[in-house]
Amino acid sequence: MIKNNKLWLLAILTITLFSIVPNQAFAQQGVRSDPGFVDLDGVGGLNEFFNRDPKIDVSVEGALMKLVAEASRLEDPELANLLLKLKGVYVRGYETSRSESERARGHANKIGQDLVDAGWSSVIRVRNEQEHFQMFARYRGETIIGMVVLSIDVGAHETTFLNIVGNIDPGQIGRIGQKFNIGRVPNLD
Amino acid sequence: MTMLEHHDREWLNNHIEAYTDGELSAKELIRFNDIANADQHIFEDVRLARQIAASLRSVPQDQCPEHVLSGIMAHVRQDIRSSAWGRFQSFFLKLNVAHFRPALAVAMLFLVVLSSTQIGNPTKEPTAQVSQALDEVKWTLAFLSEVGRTTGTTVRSDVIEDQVIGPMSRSLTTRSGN
Repeated sequence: MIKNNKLWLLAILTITLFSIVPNQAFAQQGVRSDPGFVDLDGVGGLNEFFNRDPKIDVSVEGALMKLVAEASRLEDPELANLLLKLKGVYVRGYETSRSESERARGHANKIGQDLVDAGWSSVIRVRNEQEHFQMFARYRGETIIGMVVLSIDVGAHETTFLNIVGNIDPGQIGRIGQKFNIGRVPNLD
Repeated sequence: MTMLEHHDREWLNNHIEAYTDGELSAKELIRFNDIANADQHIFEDVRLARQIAASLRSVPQDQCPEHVLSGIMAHVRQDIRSSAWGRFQSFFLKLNVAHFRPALAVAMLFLVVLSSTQIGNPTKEPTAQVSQALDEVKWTLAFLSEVGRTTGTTVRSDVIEDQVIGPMSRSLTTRSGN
């Protein structure tokens, strides 16, 4: 009877430990194994390509994304509802010279091809003298579950790679994004 | 003595002390007097009861020593506690906990999962990290909105330039050349 009790106690303790400890870790791991996630550093080898850390480095995912959504609820409920549908937001932004920008175009083309080979759909592609812009989307049925943007603005000396994971409504993102100021770059204040 | 008289006598005996102490209600007092008036011996009993009460009141009362009182009270409190614990134990023994172990384990698991999800729930005041992340997400959305707008314009310009203005211009040049 005592042995039986100990077994029960052990089982309950094991379940308890396995329930608490990996909960937060799974939240992050879950996003990173999502088909809408793209490891910008890994796929593009960006830091190696530019040979420096990004000027803009955003990685908001998992539990932090939920906290951000709830933190914005009072100020902007529509933004909160949008963010609750997102699982992760990742941005790598580099300040690039004209020659670097030209070189980055070729690299962006390669990344784009890798994404298409991996099952992503090319949604928009703009190439002219001043800019190189590509947008890719990953679909599950009719729903967009991942978005990747590769943007090289030669005039502004900015090269930006972006990945959003989650249930994405581009119209909603565009509409809500208009409300915010793009001038202030995060991580640099 | 009739059955009714026997009943009245018993009632009277039960209430005689309350009568001498003046604790009967108006209705009871009327009934008491009605019964007593029918039997004058009752007043003799009343007189005797008053005499006993007065004698008892005249007997000096000893004070219970403080240490005895506190000892008795401690004993009483312990009895109350042990009887409450006994009732608590007997309740769970009657439940036959062995049958409820799977349910208890599931309930505990549910509580643990619920509490661990609550750990990640937002607080009312966002931390600096959350505020920073919110700024970053807003910036990202603004960036997307901006590139979407400029790209839309560029696409339209490219389409208009390549497919409308260019051909029209070439057409006009060709005509003027003719």
